[in-house]
Amino acid sequence: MSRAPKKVVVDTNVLVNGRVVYGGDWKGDDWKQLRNSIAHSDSEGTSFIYVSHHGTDPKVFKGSYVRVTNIEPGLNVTAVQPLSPPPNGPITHMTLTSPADDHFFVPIPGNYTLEGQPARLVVTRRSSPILPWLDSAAVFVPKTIREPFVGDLREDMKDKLAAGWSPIWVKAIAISQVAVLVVRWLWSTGWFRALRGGGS
Amino acid sequence: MPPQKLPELSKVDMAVLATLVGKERYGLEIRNRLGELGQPVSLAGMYTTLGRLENQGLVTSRWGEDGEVEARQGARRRYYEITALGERAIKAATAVVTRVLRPVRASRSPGRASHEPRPKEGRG
Repeated sequence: MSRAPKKVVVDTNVLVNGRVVYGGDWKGDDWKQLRNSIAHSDSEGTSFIYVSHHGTDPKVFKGSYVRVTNIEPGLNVTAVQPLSPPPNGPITHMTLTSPADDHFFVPIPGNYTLEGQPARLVVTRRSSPILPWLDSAAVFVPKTIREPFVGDLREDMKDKLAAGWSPIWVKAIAISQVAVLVVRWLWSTGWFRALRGGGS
Repeated sequence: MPPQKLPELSKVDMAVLATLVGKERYGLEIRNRLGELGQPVSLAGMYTTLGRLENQGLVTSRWGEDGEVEARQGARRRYYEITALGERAIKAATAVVTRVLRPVRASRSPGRASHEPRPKEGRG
């Protein structure tokens, strides 16, 4: 079961002090919803990294986080929704507290300078709960039913997650659906009656 | 050859068959369509129903060629189509339902109160 988070790394040359710099694009195809990051500062000198993504593609799941390296330890980086800083310790990453379906910002203090140095923004997406064991769970069901059912279930899970459903709830629904399918199938084919020793 | 006996259809059987009239669909599409029409069914229940309808010869199915849909992780879609027998079955079932429900429709029609006493016509 591959539960390892997927990482997409953006290398960008960030010049924070009053200058808008765009450097590079996302690497990796599995993070399609994030188009790019732009590090720049507004008219008041507040700097931030801007992360944008397609509105129609899947959301960034709750629990994903953004980590900005090259931020000096102890630097007072503030976080805004949907990002929240870790409860204690140096701020090296910020966790999404809710699924993000819009652009979001990683604010950086205006006096922070990375002139000429590469800043690395790492976005780690929590793996989506498209359960890899679904196929084997419904092994009693013929392939002509199992394969389209499992595919539909995964498609449905993805839609529900994109609609903001809780991943735990979506997983629970999927598991119950597999259980119901197996039980109903065994019942319809007479397995249960055979097991009960009757068949009458 | 004697005409083939039409199987009895449940409400869900009828709903699934009705979505397939004139258009082949895959499972999730059928489920979503039924939800839109106010007849929610679970995926598991629907696939059990589809399996039974296929065994009865009321629908046929074929593999789709769109297995590359990312979210499906390689699982192909299976498209279902209603057969001629299925169409006859749904028409027969619809006729029965229409007959059975006729009193309900009649009692709800405005200006038609068949069970209410008619006012007596006055003389002269």
